Amino acid sequence: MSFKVSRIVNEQGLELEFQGELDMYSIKTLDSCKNDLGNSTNIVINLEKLEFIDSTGIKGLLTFLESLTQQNKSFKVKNIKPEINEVFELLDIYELIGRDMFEL
Amino acid sequence: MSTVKNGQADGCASEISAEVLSEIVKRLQEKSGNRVVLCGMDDIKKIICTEGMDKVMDMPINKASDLAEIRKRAREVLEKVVEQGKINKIVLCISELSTNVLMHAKKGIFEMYIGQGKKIIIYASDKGKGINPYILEKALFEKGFSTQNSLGCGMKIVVNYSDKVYIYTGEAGTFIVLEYFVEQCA
Repeated sequence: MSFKVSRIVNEQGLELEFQGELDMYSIKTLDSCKNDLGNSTNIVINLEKLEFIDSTGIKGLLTFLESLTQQNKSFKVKNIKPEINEVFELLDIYELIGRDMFEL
Repeated sequence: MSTVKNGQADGCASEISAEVLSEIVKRLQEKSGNRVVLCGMDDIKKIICTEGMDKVMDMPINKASDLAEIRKRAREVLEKVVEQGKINKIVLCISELSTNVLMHAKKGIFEMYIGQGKKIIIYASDKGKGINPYILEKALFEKGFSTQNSLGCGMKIVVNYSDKVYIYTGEAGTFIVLEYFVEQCA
């Protein structure tokens, strides 16, 4: 299963819907869209259709989130599946990024 | 011979002295409650050649695009013997080991064995320079996520999600065996 990012523009700003599997191969897809986010300052990252992520994918996600901060964009990550949440907890991702950046 | 700076041994596995390695092995086993075992190459071979274990997968790990196919085929095999929650964990560990092979040795081999529906063995091997056991120890038991040390984060997942982890790392490369005990057959 490949990985893709769908964009949905609504009243709240830009929603990025992650779909598929995020790993060493597919992080380049995520990396390629970090400088193409337009003028939206509020970004929602929807993980509902993210089927799989490993530690390399998490590293790619963190790099992506860091780039949003550098572009002065605020973000919220939502719809984290239980098995992905468990890995985030194990690796202390919420402490690293800030728990308020995630809709849990 | 390794050097030791601020309590850290640098260099790859084959460059670390037997004395330093022995201390690390002891600490790794103690801290993991004997779930992580650094062992010899022959020990690894004995585990995967145990009577009653059937090889159900054998795939090369050559490029990053292989990872999705390895996971897909592993899921197909595991769905016959394990419940979904455990499949997700095993598949994640397979992805972590395979990624480590690509990152640190460029290529290697992935195999899976199932013993009478009760035990699953995951085996990944490469002929790279080996893992520095000190880095392994630090990564496994230090709190937090390191963006610099992808090996460590992956291995932290592997150790937490596997019932037993056997590691040989040295001049011949790195051989890792993960054991899972299946409680309920599908």
